[in-house]
Amino acid sequence: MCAAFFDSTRGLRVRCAGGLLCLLALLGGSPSSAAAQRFLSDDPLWHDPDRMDMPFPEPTPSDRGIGPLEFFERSFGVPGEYAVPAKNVNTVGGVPNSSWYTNRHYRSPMSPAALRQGPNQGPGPSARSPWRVVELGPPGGLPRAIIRDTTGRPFRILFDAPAHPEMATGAAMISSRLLHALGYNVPQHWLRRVRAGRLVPEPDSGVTQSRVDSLLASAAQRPDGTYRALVTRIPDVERRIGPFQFKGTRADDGNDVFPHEDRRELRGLRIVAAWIHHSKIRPRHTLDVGVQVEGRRFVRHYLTDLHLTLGSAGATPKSEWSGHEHVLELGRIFERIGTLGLSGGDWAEVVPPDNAAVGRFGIGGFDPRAWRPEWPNLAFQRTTPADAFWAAKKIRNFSREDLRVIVSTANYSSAEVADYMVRTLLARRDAIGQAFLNWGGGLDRFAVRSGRLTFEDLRAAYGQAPDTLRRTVTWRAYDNRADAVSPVLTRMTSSREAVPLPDYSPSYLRASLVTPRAGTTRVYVRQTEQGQASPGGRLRRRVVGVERTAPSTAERP
Amino acid sequence: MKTFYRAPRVSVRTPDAAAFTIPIVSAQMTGPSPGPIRRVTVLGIALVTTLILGAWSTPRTARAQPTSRPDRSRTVPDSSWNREGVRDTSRAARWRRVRRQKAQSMEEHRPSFVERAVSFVSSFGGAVVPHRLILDVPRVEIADFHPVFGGLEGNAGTTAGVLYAPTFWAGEQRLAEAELLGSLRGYYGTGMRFGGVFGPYVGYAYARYQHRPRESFYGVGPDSQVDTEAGFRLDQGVVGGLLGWSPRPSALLGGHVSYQANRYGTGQGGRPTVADQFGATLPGIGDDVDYLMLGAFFELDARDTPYTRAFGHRFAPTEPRLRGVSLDASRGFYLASEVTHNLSMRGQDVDFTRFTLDVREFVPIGKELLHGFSFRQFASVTHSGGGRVPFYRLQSIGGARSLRGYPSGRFRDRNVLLANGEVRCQIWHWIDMAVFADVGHVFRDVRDVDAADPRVGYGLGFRVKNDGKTLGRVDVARGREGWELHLDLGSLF
Repeated sequence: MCAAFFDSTRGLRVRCAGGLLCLLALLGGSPSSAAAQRFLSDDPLWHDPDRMDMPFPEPTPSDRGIGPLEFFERSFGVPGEYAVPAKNVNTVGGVPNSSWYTNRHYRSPMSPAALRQGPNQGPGPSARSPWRVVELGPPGGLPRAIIRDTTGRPFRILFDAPAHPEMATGAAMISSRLLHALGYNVPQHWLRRVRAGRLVPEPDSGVTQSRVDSLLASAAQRPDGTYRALVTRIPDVERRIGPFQFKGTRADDGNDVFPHEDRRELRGLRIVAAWIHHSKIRPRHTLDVGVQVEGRRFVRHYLTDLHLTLGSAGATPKSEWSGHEHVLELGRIFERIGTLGLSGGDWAEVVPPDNAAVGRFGIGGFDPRAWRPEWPNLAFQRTTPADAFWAAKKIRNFSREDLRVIVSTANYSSAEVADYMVRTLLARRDAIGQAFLNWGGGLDRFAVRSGRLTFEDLRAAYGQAPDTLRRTVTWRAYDNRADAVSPVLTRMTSSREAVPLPDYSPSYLRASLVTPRAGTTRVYVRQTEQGQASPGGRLRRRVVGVERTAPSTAERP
Repeated sequence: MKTFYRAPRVSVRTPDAAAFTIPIVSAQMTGPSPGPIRRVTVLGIALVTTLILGAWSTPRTARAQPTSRPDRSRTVPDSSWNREGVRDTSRAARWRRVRRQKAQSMEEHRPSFVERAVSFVSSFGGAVVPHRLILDVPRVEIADFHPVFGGLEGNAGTTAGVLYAPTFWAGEQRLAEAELLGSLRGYYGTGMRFGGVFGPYVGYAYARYQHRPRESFYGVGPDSQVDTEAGFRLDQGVVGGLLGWSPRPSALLGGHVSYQANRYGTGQGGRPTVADQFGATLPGIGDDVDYLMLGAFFELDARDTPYTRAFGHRFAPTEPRLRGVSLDASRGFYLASEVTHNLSMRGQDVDFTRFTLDVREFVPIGKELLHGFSFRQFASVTHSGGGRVPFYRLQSIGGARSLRGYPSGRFRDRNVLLANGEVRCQIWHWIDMAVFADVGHVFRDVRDVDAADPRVGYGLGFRVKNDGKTLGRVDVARGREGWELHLDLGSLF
């Protein structure tokens, strides 16, 4: 039938029918125009089906990072204004739960106990019998090893450097809780007090007691003679695959179809990394693992090496320039050559905190817009205002009490240090909110309740804008199949966080909320007929779409 | 009313096909509904395009199979069809379809050559001790042997070799190593050091032999001419021991006893011999000269860097003259003085005593990345009574470690005065830049000091740093005789 389309001797009617049938066959035979609809039946999607049963990818080297060509491209290239939206988002701008990310604290507030527990679902290493050391870490850096407890489960342990006790282990405990609450996959983290005799070599492992003793000799020791150990584990691992990249997809992972540089949770990670000063983030500090859940094998994606966050660079504090520059920025180098170092390094004058457990972590010189990791990556360079808003609202959602609970898991011996960490995280949180919550007017948590469209003005909630700010709300009908809107149904101005829905019954309504000097947010509401006995009335309404624009690119509402 | 809205699309690229687009919204309305002719035209263009792309991407050869096939018995049933047999067009179903399509054409990831090369090179470790670079190459290292660069003196040029450092004696306060070195210019040598730090005491033994066939000599005195360059060969061996004591962490005093053998010969390279150029009566020509060296030294280090004693071996005669300790100081001072008596063991009248003083000051500025000023003053005085000093044992200035605007060993005489000054700033995380000036003078007698005619060099340099130490440097300098480019390991001061 397709050949008929090309036969010029046939009439137009036959060619039309043939072409139509061919196209319909390619589309799967459905006579409906579902392909033309903007909103589908399951929008907004909150569960990405990326945990389908797939063969495990082959392991890749753990030190595999970006190649030299990509490094120079990232360092010398000008990303410019990248306006392509993230590809793995749902219709309300959220990130569906997936093997990369799970919506937690922002969508469903976590209790203090849950915040404190963090990713630790399951028991930690057994507390009674000695731990058998299976493998020692490489020389240099922090002392570390792999152990097995009495149940045979493997764990990784890591100690602080003697010159900076509690710095690396404390950073890992805090960041693991923060990242887990934000939704990222992180290993389970515990703090344990270890005596020298607790670690014994595993038989036939090649590890000797003298090497174990050497390991402890290079670790920070507490006044009571014990050692503070960070114990980590990733559960359910069937295969350690290797780091993931911040661009492209893994060619041998069938579930990995969205380019990583276009994943919102990775782009938004730039804002999160700025908050917790994870300037050392790069592929080698990530890990893909093959897991099996309910008979399905798939890859789960983790952020690891969290002892490199906050003020810690492992055995030493972070460098002065970390977070202010990439590893290589030629413009700054030439600027310093020309001025003999008198320009191009204002970060050198930031005075670091004078505490060995804190490292180099503070609010001085912190600019969330200018913050960057040491090693550039494509996902961070493609962070759009929408991605930044998504991350910023989740960060700003942490209250003072939330952060106090999370910082307490670091178990600092000094209350001053714990207090300093809370204050610094709060200050950086506020700076991020100021920088990125303006997008589209700073509105979120849209819902329909009792015939009203309710939302939250995040900027007003956090004191960044007056709560009396009036915004213009315009309602139109929306044609989901044609992607077209009707003339204005109603228009009003309001400073409230709830506006009534117009009394019209098209399948879709669209509200445009214009916030002066901040942008526009368009909200799409689906209306479906319910049974007359339904307590909600004859129409069931639900928010199915949200889009935000900046003031300069706003269309007429 | 015209409305125009183009919604985002999900673009997916499968390994073997051109990119295709899953339209979330594909409609574009620019006015009244298009007529049947336009609709058919649109559909026809879409159909033709799809057929062409499909034919284009069809592989002509067999495609590599996945390395392992999914266990179909556990596969999630195809949920893109609902119970009524109608195709599920939900978003989740669409995303599942994309994944199944990718799964059917997956290939195993193989790292490229560049990825493998980068991974191999990045596994190198290394350490820089004064004027040498020792590498740790995991796949090359065999039984404590390491590649090493640098370590030969004079006009050796690029030097490389192998160093043996037994791990049984390895440690921060202990040193045991032996090396074999060579260069493309025909230089070679071997050396050994063994010792350690025991509380406030430091002690070690050393031995070294170097074959230096292309050394240069321009004559004695400040007025020697560059065009009178002569070449010579020097084979030199030293063996001895050193003891030191630290009365306090920043101070060190001690002494050494060494035996040095010097063998002079005709140099390579086609240059005139020293005898032809300057006469056969020049001290050191024709005779083998052996010395018993008795030395004493004192050091005071008040710089703001961690003090690394480096076993004190920088005071031993095995170390190059005007040697430096490659630590990045920005504040404080350093002072070292030593006296060495060289006693001839062959009854020749060539005994002499040498006094040296080395002082360094560091003045911080600390404005953004401008570190500050660094100064060094060096003086060496030789007293020989009525005796003669072999020309190759005269003090010299010129080269990467003294007067940078001139070649190595350019000016020789019994006595030396030298001053270096630098303004240092950081231009990159691991690179400093320095603008420098050097002033030097050689003279036989104090009365011959001509303050009005010193030799001056100036230039620009870059230092590679890591963890508070200077690993290497490049200096471009200009003197009265032209430009010089110096590459060296470690810092000058």
